[in-house]
Amino acid sequence: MAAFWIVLAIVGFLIAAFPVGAVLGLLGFGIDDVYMNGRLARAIGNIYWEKSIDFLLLSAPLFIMLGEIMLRAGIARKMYNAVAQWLTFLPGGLMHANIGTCALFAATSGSSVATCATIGVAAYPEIERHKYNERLFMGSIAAGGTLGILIPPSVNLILYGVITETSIPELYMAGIIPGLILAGAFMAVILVACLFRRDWGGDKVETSWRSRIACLPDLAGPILLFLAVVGSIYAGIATPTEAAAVGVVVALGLAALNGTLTFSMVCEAAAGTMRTTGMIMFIILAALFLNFIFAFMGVTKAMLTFIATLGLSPVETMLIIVLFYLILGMFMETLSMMLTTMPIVFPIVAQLGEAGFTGVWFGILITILMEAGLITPPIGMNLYVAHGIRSRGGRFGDVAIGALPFLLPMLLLVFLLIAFPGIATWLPDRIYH
Amino acid sequence: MTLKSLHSRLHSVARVGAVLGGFGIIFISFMVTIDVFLRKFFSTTLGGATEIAGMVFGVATAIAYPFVLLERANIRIDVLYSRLSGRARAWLDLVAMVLVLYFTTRLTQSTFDLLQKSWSGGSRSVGVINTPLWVPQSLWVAGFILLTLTALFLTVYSVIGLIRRDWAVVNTVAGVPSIEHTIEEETHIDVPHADVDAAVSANKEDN
Repeated sequence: MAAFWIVLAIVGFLIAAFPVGAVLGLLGFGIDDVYMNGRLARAIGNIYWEKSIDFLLLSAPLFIMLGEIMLRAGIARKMYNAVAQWLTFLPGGLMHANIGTCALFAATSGSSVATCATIGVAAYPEIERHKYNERLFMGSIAAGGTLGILIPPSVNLILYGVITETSIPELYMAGIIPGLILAGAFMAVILVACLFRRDWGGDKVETSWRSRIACLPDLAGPILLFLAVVGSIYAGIATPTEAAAVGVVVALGLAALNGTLTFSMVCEAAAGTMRTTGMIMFIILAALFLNFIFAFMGVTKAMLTFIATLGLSPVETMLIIVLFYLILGMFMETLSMMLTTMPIVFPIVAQLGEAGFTGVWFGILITILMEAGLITPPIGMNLYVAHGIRSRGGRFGDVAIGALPFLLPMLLLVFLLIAFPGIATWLPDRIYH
Repeated sequence: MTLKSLHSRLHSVARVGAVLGGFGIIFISFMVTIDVFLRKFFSTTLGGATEIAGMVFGVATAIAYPFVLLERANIRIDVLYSRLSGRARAWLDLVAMVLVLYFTTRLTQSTFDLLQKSWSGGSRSVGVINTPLWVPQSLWVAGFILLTLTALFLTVYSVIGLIRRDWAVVNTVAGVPSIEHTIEEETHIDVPHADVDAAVSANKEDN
């Protein structure tokens, strides 16, 4: 019964627009006051200190800093033009470059919003220049940007790993194949749409093998960064935190080569990093504290007993969880959606007992559901960002409608992952087991 | 000094704290990178890099908290909020800020207790450096104290705004920033037009 009131309280406070971190933390204190006479309050100082200096969690601000520097490094335009040379022959032209550049940028950045913004700014002027269908074009930017949290490095996967105690290197390896499948499926959506409606695909962009080869050096920077970061984790040379640190240094080097490294740029990146880091730490520390209280009080156990009485099969349970996140993702900011629900949902998934339904697998599944949340109205951060780029203005609905077709491959991939968990777990299992 | 100028001065001071924190993160990047290279190519290390990195991380984040609060960057779910009148929102903003104040007060208390224990018990960090824990912890606790004082100031400011029935002031102090503002802060893009749309217009229809 206590569990019911706790869930009700969380939902009520969140809907009342109280800050997510404060809601979780106060709930922790509240439960402690009511049921434990405040005995656990002493532990909070300890938990906060231990997690505040946690070397694994440190990878989050490092990857955020990496993204902040890449956002300001000014390499996106060159990257976009280079990818465009290679993909523009397909029906749908530069929209394939939107997806391709997003996937490539996602391999250097851990944020969907940053990916969407960086590539969007580079791509937007092409709509008018080559007469694209603006809805589908903007939709491809919003959807392509979501790859930022799936293709490693990913800040979300770090936070998921910390809160569920799942291996981050394994999560990173698990994100690669689904990320490539999703990027391919986004391109397939564009291809099919433009085969039916030629006029959506814009004018042909002229290119030649000579210019294709000539622009390859522009891709060297991001590829080098990806290899330094993800490659060193893969090869076992560095932990995720160490790889992120190397990534920041390489990104500063790339910005310097590109002539965009200035003192004021670094100050802005520093302020931006700490703004996001502070915001995330405020929530995740409170979530970890609440997690501790839940475990201590047996809330988790009560929840599991309740689920068991429903007598659902593992697949049925998963389908309910998927539906729950799809609906929640329409209304809730995705990161807080993951952090607030994981203390309750993760134990449920962990005890399903279905082979293949592992912590790593669920991390990828929830990330794809978060991606869907980023492009489903009314609250979809990537839709807002893509819309914010449109200097000529227009209706918000254009972006929301344009992003809708890209939801289909996301849902398909979710169902495929439930049917064949190996899509996510095959690569990490090969490397680590 | 008016409350408004005090607010903007606090904001600039807090930003300096955040930038310093960010430099801390950059410092960590270089230190850890050097450590990785030394280990890989010379089979040696700086010694204690992990330990120092953790402490710098903890302190850097703590001194950035007041900036996050002043930036109104703490995540709030605004599905219902954005559909309310300016007045109702101002009241919710005040309640939210009071909750933050209460939470940070209790949190600061707990962190302060830990600091006292480290001081009197003489605890040291685990590792090569073996620093007395009260050194980094006092800087860390200072961040929480500044956060609580910031929350206190913002609560007082919001109450005064409510008494004056100046809903706009309460929003700029304790509210949820507009979507345009959030995008500009997070992505460094200037959002050129103000007519975002039906889904977002609810954010600014009144006042």
